[in-house]
Amino acid sequence: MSFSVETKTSSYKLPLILAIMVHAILIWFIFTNVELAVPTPVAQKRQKPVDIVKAVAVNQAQVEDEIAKIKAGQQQKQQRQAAQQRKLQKLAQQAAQARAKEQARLKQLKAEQAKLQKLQAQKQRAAEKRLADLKKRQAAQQQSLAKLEKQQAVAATENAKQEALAKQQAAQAQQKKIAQQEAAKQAAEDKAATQARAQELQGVVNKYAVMIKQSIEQRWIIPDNINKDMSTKLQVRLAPGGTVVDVRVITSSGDTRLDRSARAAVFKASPLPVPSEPQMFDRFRVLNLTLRPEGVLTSST
Amino acid sequence: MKKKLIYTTVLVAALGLAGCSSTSSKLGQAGSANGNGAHSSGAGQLAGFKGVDKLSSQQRKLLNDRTYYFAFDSSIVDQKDMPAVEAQARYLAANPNAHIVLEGNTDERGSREYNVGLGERRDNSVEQILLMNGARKNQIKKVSYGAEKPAVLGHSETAYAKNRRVELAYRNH
Amino acid sequence: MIRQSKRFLQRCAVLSLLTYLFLFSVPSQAELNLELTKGIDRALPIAVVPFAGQARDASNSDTKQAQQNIAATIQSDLQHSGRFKVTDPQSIKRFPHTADGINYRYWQKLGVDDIVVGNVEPAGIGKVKVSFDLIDVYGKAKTGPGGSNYLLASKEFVVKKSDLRRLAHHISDIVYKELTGKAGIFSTRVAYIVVQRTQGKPPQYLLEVSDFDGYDPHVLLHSDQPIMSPAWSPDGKELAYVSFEKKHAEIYVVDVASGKRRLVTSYPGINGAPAWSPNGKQLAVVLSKGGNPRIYTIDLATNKVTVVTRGWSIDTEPSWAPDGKSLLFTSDRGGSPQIYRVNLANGKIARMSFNGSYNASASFAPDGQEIVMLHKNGGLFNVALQNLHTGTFNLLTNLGQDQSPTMAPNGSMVMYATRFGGRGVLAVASTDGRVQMRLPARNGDVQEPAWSPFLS
Repeated sequence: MSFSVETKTSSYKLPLILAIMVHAILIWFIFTNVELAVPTPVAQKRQKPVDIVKAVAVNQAQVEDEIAKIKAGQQQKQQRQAAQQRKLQKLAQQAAQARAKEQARLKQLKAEQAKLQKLQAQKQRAAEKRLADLKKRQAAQQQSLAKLEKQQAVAATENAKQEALAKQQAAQAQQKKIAQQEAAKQAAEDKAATQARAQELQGVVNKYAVMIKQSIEQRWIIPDNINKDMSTKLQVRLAPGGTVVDVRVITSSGDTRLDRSARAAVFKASPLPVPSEPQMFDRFRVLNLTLRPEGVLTSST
Repeated sequence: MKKKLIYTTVLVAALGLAGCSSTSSKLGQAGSANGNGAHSSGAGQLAGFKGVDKLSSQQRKLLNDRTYYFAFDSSIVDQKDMPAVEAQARYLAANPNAHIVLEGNTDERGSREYNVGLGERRDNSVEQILLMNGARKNQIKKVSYGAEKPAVLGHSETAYAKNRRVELAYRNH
Repeated sequence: MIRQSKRFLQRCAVLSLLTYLFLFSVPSQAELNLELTKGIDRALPIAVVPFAGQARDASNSDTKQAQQNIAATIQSDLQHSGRFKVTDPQSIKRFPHTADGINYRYWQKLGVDDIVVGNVEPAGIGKVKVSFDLIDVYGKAKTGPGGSNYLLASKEFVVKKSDLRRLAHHISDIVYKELTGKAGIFSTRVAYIVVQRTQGKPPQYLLEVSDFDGYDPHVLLHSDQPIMSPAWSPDGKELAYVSFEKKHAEIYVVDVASGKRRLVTSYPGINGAPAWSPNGKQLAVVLSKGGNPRIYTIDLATNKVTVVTRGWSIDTEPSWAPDGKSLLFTSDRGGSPQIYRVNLANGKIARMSFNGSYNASASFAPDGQEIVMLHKNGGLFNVALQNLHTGTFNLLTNLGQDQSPTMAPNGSMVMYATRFGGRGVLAVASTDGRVQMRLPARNGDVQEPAWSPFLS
């Protein structure tokens, strides 16, 4: 059988351009995303040093106050002062240690986050490859992504509290992970289901397409003295039940006799065989027919 | 010369009358029955002793046979017609002022113009025998009618056989 | 900063995914594309509606009025062309006479693709105004750019009443051209020989010319001796023929309109089978002045005779190729009559027919791709069509007593002589084998048809 089912492109110019643009943007982001995600040191440098320095500054002010007090007390108990200083130094040291510890933890968190980002990017790319089958998965993903976004927004308000942030990020990562796992699992299931359904649908479409083709061909009187390389393109609109509502010559063959013979054949074949189920019939509302008089059916007289 | 011409005319007229009184097929059979005798010149001389009248009537019979028949798509003169054709030749040789027309004909089947060619070829066959037996070329005129002048109407093989013929006719010159 | 870009990224990802979803979900509502490469080979169904102002049923009468019935003549023309299936006039219940107010559904239900409607009304003394429309009954719906109009032809004429039949043929030509893409032959004529045989009288021979369908015959020559082989000049104004009126063959040329004639050849022996060169300046003929029938050409301006074939065979029935550069002829040089072709430039001869032991009376189709000939198979003579490129060889007739095939100037039909009811009649076969028909019987045996070229 030489018929085919394809997407009609001419009337989707805008979406097509959009799609191309989106693809371009996506591809750009896939690459830039990788670049952003990989150099984790950039994120490490950030380290929230300002916050930490600020915390230390408060401690130093206390220390200076103490020093001023001691000076005002005519440098009494210099030893105590020294001791106090040592104590303070120790305090400062402890603060620094805590800071370093905190930094290390942050570093780890950032690494995890980067890792997660990387993973996410990879999964996204993988997902894009199977996009045709991913309707439901995308919906799920979209939902979880929206959720995550919301959570992120909450986390952003708690900017000062790093622990909360870290916790949040960890939770976020885990949630993401779970969501993605679930999504992947569901996608696999959906993929199989949609494939089966698509196959079933395509089978029905093919069956009726063949019947339509035969029904018209059996009524198509090929005009005498016609150029066999010419073809006429018709757009046929059908009502439910297959009644031919309208036939338009989209591209003339250049020989009106061929155009007219093709049109007459379509009208004569009305009603065309179409599925009765409304959803299935939707595929047959508009038919694009190309009629090329290559040969003659050899049965009839 | 004039005498001879008158004689010829009278003879031809008499022969013509005789020809009309009997069918050509009967004449053909008669020719064939006497064919072997006429073909041999010795037999002719022997017959001469039996009486002039009988010889002249036999001669007359042969001279009356002026239609010669052919097979389909053939221009070969049938053996049974040879004595008659030879008799015409001898007559023409003896009478240089006698003139004939050979009318070639075919049956109605096939191409009409090819049949004209075929009729002429039949004329030529008869002419050859006449010339070999003493007739002169200027005594003979040929015309081929092809299938245009059937002797017998009808579409059977019997009719066709009677139409595949050459007719010899004496004429005034 | 980073978080923001990350969110942007995620949004982009979502957007792109949505876009994908959108694009991929489109086919479920898309139009179906189908490619059709085969159809049926069938006569076009057409209805010719009786013209307003004329009788609705003129089929079963042979009166002059019936002969002038336009619809009946068009019906007959189209039906006999083989290209059309004409609706039985009895089953027509509506009688529109213009394209306005046509009930398209009615005609579609009647099973026709196109209809012819028209009107005849008086237009002064002895004259009538005739109008007609050719309508595509599927053409009324929207057609879009480049689509066809439902009104395929629409014309009006004022003619003498006596010209109504000729006008009907002219309308048939217009309809035929519009629907088949080829010129129609309904205004062409035929020359032929009639032989009248009455008991007890010598047969009478007539050279006649009539419309292609046998109507309106005119006698050009009357003789008590055979007349043969009429041949049309390429301009359709003259006929060459062979006459035996002087008891031997001669070739004459007669002006069809005036009946004036002139002698062309009167050589001893055969003067036969004249054929006009495509440019009308030469006649190819058969002469046997050289001893046996050979093909010659005669320059009609100078009467110069040139021999074309030589040998001891019967060479006859020359027929020019459309380009005038070669001749077909019949020859038995191989033992039986077959078709040969001689190149006029170099005299080279090639055999063309290879089926059976008897092929003759060949002529070219107008496109030069096919030759029609008389073919004998067993004891039967039929008309055959041989394609020079593919070599296919088809019998067009099957009556067994067929002769003198002559092709219509558009190559769509072959006329030939045959026998029916005990007399010679003319018959027509379409070259596609769809149609066989006989022309009306005449008083006598009709033979040797010659189809005229296009006359207008």
